[in-house]
Amino acid sequence: MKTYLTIFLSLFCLWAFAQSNDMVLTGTVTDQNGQPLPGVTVRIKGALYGTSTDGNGRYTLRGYWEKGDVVLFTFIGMKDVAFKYEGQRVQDAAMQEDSRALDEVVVRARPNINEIDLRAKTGVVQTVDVKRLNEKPMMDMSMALQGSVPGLIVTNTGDLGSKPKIRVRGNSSFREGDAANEPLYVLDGKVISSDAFMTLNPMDIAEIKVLKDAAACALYGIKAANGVIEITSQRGNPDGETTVNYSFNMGITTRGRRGVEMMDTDEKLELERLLQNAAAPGYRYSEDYYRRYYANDPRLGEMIAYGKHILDSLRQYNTDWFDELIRISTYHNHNLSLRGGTEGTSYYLSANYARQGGRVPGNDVQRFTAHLTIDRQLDKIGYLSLGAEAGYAETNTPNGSSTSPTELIYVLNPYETKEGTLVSYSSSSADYTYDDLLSQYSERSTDKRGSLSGSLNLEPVEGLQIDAVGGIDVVLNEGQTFTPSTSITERTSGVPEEERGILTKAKNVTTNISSNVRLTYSHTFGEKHDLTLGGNVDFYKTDVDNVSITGYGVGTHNTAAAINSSITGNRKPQTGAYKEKTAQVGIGVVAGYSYRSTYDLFFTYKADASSILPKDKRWNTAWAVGIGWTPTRYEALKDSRVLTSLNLKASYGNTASLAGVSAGSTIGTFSYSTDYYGDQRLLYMLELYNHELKPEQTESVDFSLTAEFFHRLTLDANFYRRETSQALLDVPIPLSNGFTTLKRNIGVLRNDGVEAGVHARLVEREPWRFSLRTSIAYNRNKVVDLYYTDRLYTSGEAVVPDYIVGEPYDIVYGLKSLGINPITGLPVFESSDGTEVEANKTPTRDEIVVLGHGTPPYTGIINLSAAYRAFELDMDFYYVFGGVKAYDYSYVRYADDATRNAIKGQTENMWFKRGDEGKKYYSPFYTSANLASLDYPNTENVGKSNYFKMSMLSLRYRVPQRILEEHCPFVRYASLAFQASNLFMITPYKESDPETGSLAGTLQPVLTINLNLTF
Amino acid sequence: MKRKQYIFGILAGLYCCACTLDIPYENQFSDPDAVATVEAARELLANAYTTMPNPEFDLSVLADDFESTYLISKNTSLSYLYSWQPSAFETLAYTLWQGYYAAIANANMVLERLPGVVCTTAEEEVELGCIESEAKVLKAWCYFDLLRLFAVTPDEGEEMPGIVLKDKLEMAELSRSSVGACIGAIRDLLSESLLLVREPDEVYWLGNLSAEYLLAELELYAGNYRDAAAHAAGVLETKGYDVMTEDNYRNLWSDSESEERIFALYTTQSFYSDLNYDWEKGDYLVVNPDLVESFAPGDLRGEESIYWFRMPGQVIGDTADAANFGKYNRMLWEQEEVRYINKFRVAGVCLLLAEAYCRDNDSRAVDVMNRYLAQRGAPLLDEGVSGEALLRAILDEKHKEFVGEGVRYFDLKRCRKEVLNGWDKAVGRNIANDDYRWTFPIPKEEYLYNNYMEQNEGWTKIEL
Repeated sequence: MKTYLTIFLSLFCLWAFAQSNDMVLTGTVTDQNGQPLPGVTVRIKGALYGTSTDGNGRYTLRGYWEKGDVVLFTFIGMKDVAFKYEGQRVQDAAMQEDSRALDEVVVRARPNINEIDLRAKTGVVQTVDVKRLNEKPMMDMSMALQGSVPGLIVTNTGDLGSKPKIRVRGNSSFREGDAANEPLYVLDGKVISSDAFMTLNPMDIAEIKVLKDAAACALYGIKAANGVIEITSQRGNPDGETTVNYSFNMGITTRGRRGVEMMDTDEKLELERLLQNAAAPGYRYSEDYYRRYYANDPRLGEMIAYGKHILDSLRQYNTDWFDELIRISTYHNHNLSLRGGTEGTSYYLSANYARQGGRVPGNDVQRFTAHLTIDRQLDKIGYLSLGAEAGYAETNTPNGSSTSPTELIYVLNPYETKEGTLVSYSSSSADYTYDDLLSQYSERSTDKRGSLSGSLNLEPVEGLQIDAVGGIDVVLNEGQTFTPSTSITERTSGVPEEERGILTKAKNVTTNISSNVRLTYSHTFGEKHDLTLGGNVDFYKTDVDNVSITGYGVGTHNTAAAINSSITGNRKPQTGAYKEKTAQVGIGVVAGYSYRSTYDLFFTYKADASSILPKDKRWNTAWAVGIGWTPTRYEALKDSRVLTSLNLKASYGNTASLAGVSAGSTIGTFSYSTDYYGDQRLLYMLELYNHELKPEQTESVDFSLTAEFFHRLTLDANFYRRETSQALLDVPIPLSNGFTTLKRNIGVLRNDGVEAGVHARLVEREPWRFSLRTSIAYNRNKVVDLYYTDRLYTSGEAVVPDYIVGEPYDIVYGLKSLGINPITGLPVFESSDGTEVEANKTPTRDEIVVLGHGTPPYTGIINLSAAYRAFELDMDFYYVFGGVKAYDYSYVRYADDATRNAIKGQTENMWFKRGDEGKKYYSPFYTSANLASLDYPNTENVGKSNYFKMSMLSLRYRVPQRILEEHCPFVRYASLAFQASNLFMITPYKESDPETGSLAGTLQPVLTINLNLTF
Repeated sequence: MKRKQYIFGILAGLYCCACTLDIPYENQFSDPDAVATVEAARELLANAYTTMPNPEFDLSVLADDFESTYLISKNTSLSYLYSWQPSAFETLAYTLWQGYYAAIANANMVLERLPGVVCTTAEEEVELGCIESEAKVLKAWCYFDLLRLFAVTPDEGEEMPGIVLKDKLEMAELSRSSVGACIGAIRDLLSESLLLVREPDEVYWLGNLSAEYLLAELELYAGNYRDAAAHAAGVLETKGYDVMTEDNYRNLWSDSESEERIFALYTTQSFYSDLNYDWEKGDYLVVNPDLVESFAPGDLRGEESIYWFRMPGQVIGDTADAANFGKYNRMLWEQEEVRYINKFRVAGVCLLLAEAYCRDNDSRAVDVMNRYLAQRGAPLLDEGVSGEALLRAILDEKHKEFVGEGVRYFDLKRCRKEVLNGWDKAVGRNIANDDYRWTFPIPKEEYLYNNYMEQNEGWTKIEL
């Protein structure tokens, strides 16, 4: 019986084997150098089974498949290779190393719910090159985005760790600041704050999309009036491979641009002599001084000799304070990720630690993040995804609003040293040492972030897609600032010793909860009509909870525990608290139609309601229409070898937005103060309300064109116009109203511009590859109308208008300089009728002229990529031009501040006596307080803020597979690179940084070595 | 199938909780429910009190209350104010115009919300009535101060532009009503509130007596001396001369209670601190030496108004006795906190009554003065004195009573063309009676944004 059974089973197996293995495919897989490649996965696309190559790169694939099926060769670190099965028995493959390495993994679930392909057919959706982003050794995610997409303008605002300004196609509101102009950040379908975005780890990001026009943004409704940045996280590997990747950057940060060259000892002493301030040694020990005050003293000769001796001893020193104060620091970044999965479940897990030291001691940032995503297939109907993140970020800085060690570069004299008392900081009341100056202020800010999200993507019946995402993102921000009692400001504040030393501590918890459900139905009929209909409901809730304390009398202890609570009066301990819970509900519909993939139509409508607004103003709408046309789909053009692709799009949209408006602006809203009147608590009105307040209406029109020639050269062009009418602004109102300002709909502003880009793959002949991408964006803005006036002054003091009808709204206004009067030594300005106006006269409004744009209208990039065999070179350049920025000029010294160092060349360029012609700096014997016109910028003291910088350089060597196999077979993929960011900047701007316009802040060059290993 | 149901269940659950948009703020209350209780209305009114400006110090600097010391050169803005520089007026005009109109806006805010307040008890009804009349008195008081500062006196022309009468909170560009119309409006507001009030339990709430006090002052200002006397006599009837004891007088500048107070603003902010340069060198200004001399020995007013100080001179080792200002300034020197800023007090009523009688040729004037002076320990007036001599005596005694409290400036402006003519020569100021600076300038933050606003004569108006 047993024998029969065995025979039967064997026969059955043979039969089964014959049934299922009736096809066999064999071959050899090699790398680009012809070397056999072991471990390559070979499978039929869409089938469950596969095999892999042996040590000689050979494989045998058995199974059942049909003609027309695709045979897929995959290997980590190599580009996928696919062949169509046409009945061949042998199929060899030569694989190419893939620069995109780990990013090639197929993301099966659609984690970003609003990411509907539909809108891309008519709207402007641009993708950030995440690979390049990761090549930049930069801690700050937002700054790294600079230059990644034309029209996305990122501007640095200060020292390391400060939040940059991010705008998509300029400001859409008269109201400055982030609240009314910041884009919306969406991570895997959930809304996150811009602070949370800053702390993300670029290595965890699979894709970033920038949505610019109305058709692309409309799905997000009114929140998206300023554009959207969509971020998609890395996901697991559904192919069942488990890979571990470790990437590590280590390097140094260098000092960066010097900007203003300061005086050496000889010139400084000479300047001091000319400034005739006896507090400065250059005059106090000069022959001039002795001859003036001791002319008849019999020991005059002796005194002069003594003075000379003192000055000679000072001349021994020539300290370069730029070198002393600005330091070379370190940068390191470690990233470990694990990716894997089985057919049903895949996961991605990563941890990252990065730290960068700033330019001055006490300034540094560090960050730790962890990220986990799990995707699970649910039968055949869809996927369930889960994501969790945790992050910790810390920023320390000694730069406060009133003190900045960086600025000491421009103050300390070359004859001073780190030891002893400082001439530049001595006063009648106290002497200061270098160490005193470095401990004036410290600020520490930490962000602790946790985030959870889940999403479901289902297709219960064919064509009907249901997507849902829900998530929570919590950021705990803690800040502590400390001004010790030993700081100059505290010592000279006049308060008693026991009340000196200021400490503030604040805790702020921001919770964002978002959920979004979308239904999409797509159907193709008649083989040429594609119809998509959809609808969505979303809900966002934000909770901000803040508590802060400010206390005095902490002395030199940087802790809130040292606050002196016995103080009464102005320096009594203060507490602050703020809690704001807001929610927004939106409901939208979307419809798309495509005919033969040649003509596309798109429509979307979204209504949003916000809890901030009173009931009657709560609902606001956003809608958009778009059309697309792809002429290259026509039979006549289909096979053109020259014009390989051409696509034209146009969109129009309208958004009504009350972004940044709170209830108090439209309805009487009251709040309790912490003060009392007698036995009564005080209830006060937050602001004067305006019952007639209407939402800002933003209308945008966009045309775009994409053309591809020879499959090699891609041209992109976008033209846009975005006009905001009923624009809101807090404008001054007659004082007799009891309030100084009122939020009003004041006018119309317009942004229009062009964004153009070229991407050319110039050489693609193995082993050479060379490609070039360049783009330029131009933004022009204009005040089209002001409803109540033709020029608007936002304060009674202002001689300079804030907005003028017909002029751009970011104009720097000032006076026209006519140089220095050689007789008086004072600056002279031109009046409206061409005559000269002396500096001590208060300027009138008609003497004010346009000096230039505050925001540079032109920005652009040049990206180069080259590869030769295992070497790869990437270079990014970023440039801006067309703007002006006022100079600080605080390093020009007058008689009163002769004890501080001055700009090189001042001695030559300053007016000292009657008849000095063609001078640049006015008489040092006047105090600027008497020169009212110097409160305004003028043609002489603004400079072009144009710059051209190398923002990234990466030279990578990929260790060939063959070497890895021989020497460390456990490593599947390895590369070594030199990576640098912000290497140099070319600018006509004479101070340290044309971007921030401050003496303190400039981006430091970072030079690193990167090692990337995949196991 | 089960799994599908499960998934749809999750989906439905997600949206069941999505949710109402009526989310209240922790510390923000919007109309119409924000001020629905008597308690909230009182709290809102309390804020109106705190926004009232306190011009005591600045107006005293402009008047002849003080004389400068060498230290004043160290404070440019104060020396400008002391020497009547136009720029100092512009700064002060902004502060006061803004402050009074902020208080008016607050009072309007209260008045507009009162109809929505729900009362449950009779006690609450009374309290609501008080709130309404207090808001009106406060508003009238602001109008009156503004009128006296920013407009010409009624004898210079009742048809001349007065101030902006703001009846509603909402944003408006309004023109100035005439001086006569303003006086009428103030009188109406005060008279209306007289019908409703109950005397407050605390001195820092306005009441019937404050309204009467203001009416007396208003009628005196408008030249209706009989009405002025009637109102002043009404207040004095309630309070009596006997409350003006030494203790009550000295307690006016302390945080103790004093029956002499009719109304005082409660404050937690520092007050009168601009007079002091530092605790070693002394004050920028001291009491006018003529005034110092005029106090007879034993005059309580002299004792309270002067705080003698050994002031170091400019040369090392050199010192001199300086008649530093007392009252609030003494409290600062002695590190006492100022809680009450006395606004209306019984002595003021006596002096108002005396002046009204005097101007009306009523012989009771001397009697009123002497009853008042006796309480202060000061020499009495001669029974036979009358006419301008009596008027001058009354105003001199008023100056002594209110030194440093800003009262003198209003009297100077009101009487500069008659009885107080020549005051400036005594302090070496040389301010002519018809000098344009007697009316404050309308701040540019008003006229730049209000097309209907007229500037006062002599002041510049910048055109946009």
